[in-house]
Amino acid sequence: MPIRLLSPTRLLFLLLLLAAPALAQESEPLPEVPDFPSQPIRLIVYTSPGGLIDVTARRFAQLAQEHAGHPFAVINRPGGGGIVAFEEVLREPADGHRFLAVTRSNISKMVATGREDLIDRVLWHSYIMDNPHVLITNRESGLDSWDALKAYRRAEDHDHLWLGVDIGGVKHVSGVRVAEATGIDMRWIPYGSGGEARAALLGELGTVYFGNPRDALASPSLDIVAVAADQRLAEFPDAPTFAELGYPGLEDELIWRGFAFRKEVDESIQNWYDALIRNVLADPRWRNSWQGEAVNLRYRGRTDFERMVARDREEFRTYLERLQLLPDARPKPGRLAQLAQPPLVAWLGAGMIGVLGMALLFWRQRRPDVPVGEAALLLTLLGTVALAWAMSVQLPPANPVDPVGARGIPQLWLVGLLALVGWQLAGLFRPRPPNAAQAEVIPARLPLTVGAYGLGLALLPGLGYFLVTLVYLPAMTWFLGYRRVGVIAGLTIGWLLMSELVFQRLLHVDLPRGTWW
Amino acid sequence: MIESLLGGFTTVLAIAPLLTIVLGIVLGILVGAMPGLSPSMGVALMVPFTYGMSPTLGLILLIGIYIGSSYGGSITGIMVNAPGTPSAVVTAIDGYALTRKGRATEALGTSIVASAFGGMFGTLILIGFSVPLAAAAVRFHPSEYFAFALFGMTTIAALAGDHWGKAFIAMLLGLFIATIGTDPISGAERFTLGIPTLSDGFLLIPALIGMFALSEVFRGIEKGEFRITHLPGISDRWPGLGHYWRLKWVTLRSSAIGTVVGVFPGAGATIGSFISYGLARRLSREPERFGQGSAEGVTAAEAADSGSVGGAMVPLLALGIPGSATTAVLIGAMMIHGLTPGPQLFLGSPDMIYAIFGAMLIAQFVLLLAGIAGGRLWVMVANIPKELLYVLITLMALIGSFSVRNALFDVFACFGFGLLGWWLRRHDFPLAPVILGLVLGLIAETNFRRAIMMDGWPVFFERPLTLALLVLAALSIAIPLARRLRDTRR
Repeated sequence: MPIRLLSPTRLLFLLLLLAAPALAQESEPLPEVPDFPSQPIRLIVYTSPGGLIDVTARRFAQLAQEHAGHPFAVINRPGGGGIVAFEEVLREPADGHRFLAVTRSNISKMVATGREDLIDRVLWHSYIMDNPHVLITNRESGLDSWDALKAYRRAEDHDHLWLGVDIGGVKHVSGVRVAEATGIDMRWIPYGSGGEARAALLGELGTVYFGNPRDALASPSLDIVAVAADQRLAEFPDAPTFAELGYPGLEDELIWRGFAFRKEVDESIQNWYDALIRNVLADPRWRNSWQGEAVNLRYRGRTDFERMVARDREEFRTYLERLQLLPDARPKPGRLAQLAQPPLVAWLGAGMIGVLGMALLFWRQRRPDVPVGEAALLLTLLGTVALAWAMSVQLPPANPVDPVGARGIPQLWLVGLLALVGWQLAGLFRPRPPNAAQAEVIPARLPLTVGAYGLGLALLPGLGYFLVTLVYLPAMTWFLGYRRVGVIAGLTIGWLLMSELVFQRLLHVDLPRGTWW
Repeated sequence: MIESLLGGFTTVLAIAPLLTIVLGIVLGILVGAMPGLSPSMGVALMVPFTYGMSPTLGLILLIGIYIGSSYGGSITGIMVNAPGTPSAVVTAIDGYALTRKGRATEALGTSIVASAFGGMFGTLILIGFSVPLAAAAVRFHPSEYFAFALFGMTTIAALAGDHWGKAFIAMLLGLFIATIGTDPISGAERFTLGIPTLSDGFLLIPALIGMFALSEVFRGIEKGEFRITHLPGISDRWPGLGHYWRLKWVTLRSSAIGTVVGVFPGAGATIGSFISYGLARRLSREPERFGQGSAEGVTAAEAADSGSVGGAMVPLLALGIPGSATTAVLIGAMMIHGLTPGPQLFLGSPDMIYAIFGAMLIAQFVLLLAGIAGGRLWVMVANIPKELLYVLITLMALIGSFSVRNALFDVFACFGFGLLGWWLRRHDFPLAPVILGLVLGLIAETNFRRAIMMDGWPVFFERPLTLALLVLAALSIAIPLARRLRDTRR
């Protein structure tokens, strides 16, 4: 069978695309804003590609591009549960060419990490959809109904193992609320990703996977036994709501998605986005693309959205405090541990390097056969081990649920390092032939090259990538001894062009721009 | 099934799909060869270009990129010791050693054939055994993942060379660095010094670029290695059939290891490469050549790396679960195209599944041809004057580390790792164990703690597979260590 370039769905998509002008006429015209948009619009996603928010952003960008008649690009900026993405948007000019795809997870993460300032610094612009949290079980385990689940006892010290993601995240907090409301003594097992947790459920390693309804579509073995919504989901009509099961008050245990901007973005640009977002949400293709995925497509404007964010923030604060997941709520470290604060660590580090230097000079005189460079490396490692140990005692200790604790494994590695580095160091001081230590002369060109590179990096925030490269590339090649001026000039121009065309434009890597120039 | 597969081949053997495969492979090789661009980023970048395509054609393009980029990472690893992907670190150990000996063509030739064979093997396993393999993989308890990671760490025996103590220190350093960031179990910030970017720890890509590429540049400048050296008596030719025939067992074994490791969600190609490299050295007749430029070493790493692509597709297609970062992007792309990955896809769209299988097999041949053709170009890198090459590598390190998440922090981290790498190398500390620790540290820790949280300490002795893996890991490290101690006493 020859492959079809256009499947029926694609054909429909193409037909709708051809009908786009007609659709555009029916949709709300976008207000005119002087000089906007003047460059591609970037929708920043705080996760790696592939997650549900990434899919949401890509589906949105695809249609927004068409409705706006302007290019949209989805950019993934994973890190810190959204902190990296938020900080990037807040760092860039408030010209409306960058905005954030956000979820309820961002609120829990910001609260859990003490970065609530980020919540305040963005405008929660549009709430576009949500889906309820659900309890998913593996039918093969015999847990195919709420009653079976409720009656299940796994061990003496806990009834259930609930598999999920992200300790202190939105699902964890919701899971705790659901377990409390239903009287289930559960233990939350955090996995690195939803996929890994679902795999564990399919392998009958846990009792429940706490996630999105869509997660249950992957395998016929997976069952939804309870839904945190006010009514049953059309896609899973057999799955009862918690209210039906006799546990009202869990209807808001959901994950929402929406968009946020820098607060300083001009009102006229915000209105432009208002119209655009409403147009996309009203597009039949948008609605069709979410069919069968148990998603509630509902729009809420700024005022409602800001109110919801404020409510969620309070709720997460309360629960994370109870779970001892707020930075201030964790058990206070001992006096010695309290000394290990970053500034003191830095001073200790600097002092340690000074002492090491003096000790090495002393040894150099007493034992010229000892390789000073290697001894310096090992002593630096020893010093680092000592500082890291001082910091590790600040970490949460072991507890009955997690008998290893956050500090157990790092301390194990540190003990290993201490023993091996000590052993190596002792080996250096064993008697050896007089000529054993080789001269360890470092040619001047190396520190100069390293220094020039380091200086270039230090100047990046001020001068920007292009100016730094314009100076660094020809200067360094010349310094290293290459003298063909034409080649150097051609290479510099070619490299800068490649950086602009390939990285900046094609791959949307925003190379650092200077703030001074 | 044979009939369905033939149907799949028929579907793919047309102009549009074939051109799509070629495009995907070429783009993938370029993405993989660029330090900083991982296969998952490459696939994600191309997702928007598939919107106007049929789902089958779109997926063929993305899978082509996945296959191409898994190989492409080895090219820069072999030529300039700047592995484009984490899994290519292992290829670079012997690949770059061969290049330094003036045998870059041999390294590239060995790598591409091993890669294509590994990919082919992984795809055939995917076609034949995806359902039972996926069913077995999901039953892997965290205790088994921990034991598996521990077994991966025993690769240290193969990486240590003459410096066991230093290799262990390097691995422990990597293991400790892996603990920096948010603790995945308790949510506590560990050793982050209040720096928000550190809450996710040091990213692997900047660490990799710094440790290998920058440290190599610093070392070259220190040694004053600016001349292009053509070693006397070395003829650098594309290897003949005899060469590949001699490597048949290591190729087959490593492909199998890579495929099996790839099946386990979260394990990844890098672990497969390290394990198969370690095993290849143990079983080799010339273990002393490992690390000095061994074709067996290159083969073991590359075949496992590419085999893992087919392996990672197993849970995706059989269960709808991503086995790797790249397959997570593929799941997203499938959703955008209105598809639900998992068993339903086999039932609802068998034509598409078999077309994908057919495309994956054909893609390996395209990879082979593209690799051989491109190899002649890559070899020319060795002829670039070092003064230019060193400066370009430092700039590529800057862009590569920055592009991961647009953070200057990563650029400085890369520089820091470069200095650390140079300092360690200067005193004969091997660098690959640092990466081994970085890759395996978090997997070992989280699964160790997860296993205890789920079933208590006895789980490590009560589950036969866990116990067997732990004993195997202990023996893998104890036997070579005992041999070495015995040799030292003699």
